[in-house]
Amino acid sequence: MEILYATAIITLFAVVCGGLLGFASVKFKVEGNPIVEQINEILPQTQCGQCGHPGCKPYAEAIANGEAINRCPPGGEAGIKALAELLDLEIIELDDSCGEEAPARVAVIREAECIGCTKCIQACPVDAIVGAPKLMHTVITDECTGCDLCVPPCPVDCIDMPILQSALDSWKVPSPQVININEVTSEPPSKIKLEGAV
Amino acid sequence: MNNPMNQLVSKSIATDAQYRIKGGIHPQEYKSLSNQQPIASIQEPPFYILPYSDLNKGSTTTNLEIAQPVEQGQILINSELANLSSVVHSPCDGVIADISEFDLGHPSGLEQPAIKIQAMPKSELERSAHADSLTDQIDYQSLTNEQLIKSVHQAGIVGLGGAGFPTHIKLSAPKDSIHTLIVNAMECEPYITCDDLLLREHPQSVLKGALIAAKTVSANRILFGIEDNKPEAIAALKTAIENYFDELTSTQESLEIKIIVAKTKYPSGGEKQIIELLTGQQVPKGQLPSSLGILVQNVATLEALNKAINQRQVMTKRLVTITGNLVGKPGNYWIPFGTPVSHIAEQLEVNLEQLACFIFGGPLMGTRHSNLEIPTKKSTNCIIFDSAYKTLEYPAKHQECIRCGECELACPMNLVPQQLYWFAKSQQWEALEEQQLFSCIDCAACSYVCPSEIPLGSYYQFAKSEIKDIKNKQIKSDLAKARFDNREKRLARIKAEREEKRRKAAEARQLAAANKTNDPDGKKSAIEAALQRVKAKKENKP
Repeated sequence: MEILYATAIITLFAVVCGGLLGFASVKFKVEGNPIVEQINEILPQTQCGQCGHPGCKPYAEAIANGEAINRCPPGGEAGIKALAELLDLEIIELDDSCGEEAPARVAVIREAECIGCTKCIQACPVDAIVGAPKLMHTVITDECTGCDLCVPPCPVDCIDMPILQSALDSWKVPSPQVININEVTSEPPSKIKLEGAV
Repeated sequence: MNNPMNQLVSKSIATDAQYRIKGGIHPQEYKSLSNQQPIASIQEPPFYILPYSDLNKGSTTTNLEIAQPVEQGQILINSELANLSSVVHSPCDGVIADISEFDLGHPSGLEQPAIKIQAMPKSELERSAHADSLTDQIDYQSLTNEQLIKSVHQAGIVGLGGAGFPTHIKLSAPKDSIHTLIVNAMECEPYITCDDLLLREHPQSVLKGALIAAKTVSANRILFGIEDNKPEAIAALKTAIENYFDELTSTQESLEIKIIVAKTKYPSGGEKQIIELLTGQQVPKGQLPSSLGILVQNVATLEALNKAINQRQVMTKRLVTITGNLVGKPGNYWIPFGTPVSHIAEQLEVNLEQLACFIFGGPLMGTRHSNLEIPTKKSTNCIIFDSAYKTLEYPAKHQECIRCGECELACPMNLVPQQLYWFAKSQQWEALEEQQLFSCIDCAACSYVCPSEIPLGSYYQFAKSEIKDIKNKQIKSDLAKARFDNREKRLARIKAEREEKRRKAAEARQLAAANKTNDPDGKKSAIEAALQRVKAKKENKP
């Protein structure tokens, strides 16, 4: 008799647990692969397609499926480093075939020459170009990612890609380490304050 | 005279600070090099170089042209009242010689946009009414707060303590949010004496400026914070408060004025440090002193404020300490903004042969330069020409960190400088933020005490600039991602709509085809449609 009770209890327990797990799998279902989102967060979102994918998300998916992490020139070395850290891979050099790491650029339409064909508007992956058919178009500078995708479709070649920031704005304080390495002829420290104590 | 202030003034107006700050250092002082001589002026330079904006953002220029004549006090660069930038005035009569890029002493060595003015002194007769109006006397008591703030803005006043923050923004605090004005006369950097001399010679001017600032923000308490190494300045200020006592009580309803003398220690002149020394309160992380109801102003700023309001003088010059062992005539001089350093060096007989570099500001927080053609700015309170400073970077080479912990004892902000150093060196940005890198006030006390002579402050500046850059990039990428996602959604929606339309059209075609089989010539349906139209027409025509 006892064995029947035991079996019944175990069966009931299994059914309840199964039910809970089934409920949880529906309720807490994760949409898509979470690692793809994390990879996508690191990618620079220029949507430039230099990696050979139509945007950053598709490349993130490709990386999750095992593609190389060195195919994003706008992300550059820092991007590769962050991806390598996230995926526990080795840091590799940027793939030259995709392009070189270059300073951020921004698209500028020479407005007098624009014929209002809307081709660049359709090409822009982030909707950063405003305009209407047969009317002048212009770029919203703050929202342009400098992806270059609007340049080839333009029939009158009126889009320039100047460097976004002046040398002054993009200047960063150099690391004192770099200064030290470059300082070949430097004298030893002028005074070691603890010398007396030692 | 039952005013509570009565007792304060007549008894002891100067008290010792009750509170202490953590850390700090006692560097050797060189103040006597420059504080023995009275304030003087130097001959005007042949030309001036004025940066577009000291803060380099938000300014709009007036329509200036090369060869255009300008008058002293004329507005060259205007700015909006709400902008974080200041109005720039011409320091002299002359013509605009050039508008282009000049080396203004940016640490990158890159040139910045500026205006060069060739001085051409006019005789008094030639001066226009514009210049005359500046001598009008007005009573600030009759001005409203908005008028006061506007005047301060139009006079181009910025904080003269070193950071150069526009004063009109600080004074535009919400009504009744400020109860205490702290006047910062600490001047803790070891060489600088311009605030000391200003207080010795023009204490009443500083006091009047403090009263104007207190009135503007409706503060009823003025605390002068000063270090005990300036006894002459303390005495002068005391006398001024006593002499102006009657005037003070007649104009202000309730006002408490106190001088609080602190023990000399660097960096007690830091904004957060002086607040803690004088009131015992700490400014919460990421907040401004106004969150405690406190406004801090430097003495030189208040002197400029007094000139702007009471004498209607715009700010085109300031008191600058010129000091160091290579200066023939060290002291404190009224120097117009934009004066090239080479002119100052020539006037004050600086021994240029032994000069390797000079310092703008103090030796601890200042910046080192080698180009003598750079001009002084609004925030330049001191120029040091000293043979002790041999290289632009401090120091050129250092030893490794031995984890002695000296820096931790010296840090006034309760940080762990050695941890910050290791993290900055290995570029661990998140760890740096966890260690509160952005609470660092750049005082460089840690660099000063480091036995390995590690330029700790430079490491933090490097890390701060990298982290800011990463954050800016992140903001940009988030925006791009959102816009890209929205566009994808929109394109998907349009595609779905198109599909739906196509599907409906196909269905309609199928239906039509089905009808066609029942009615091969389409006559039946044509007759029906015609009947429908006639019927509809009849109904419309009653």
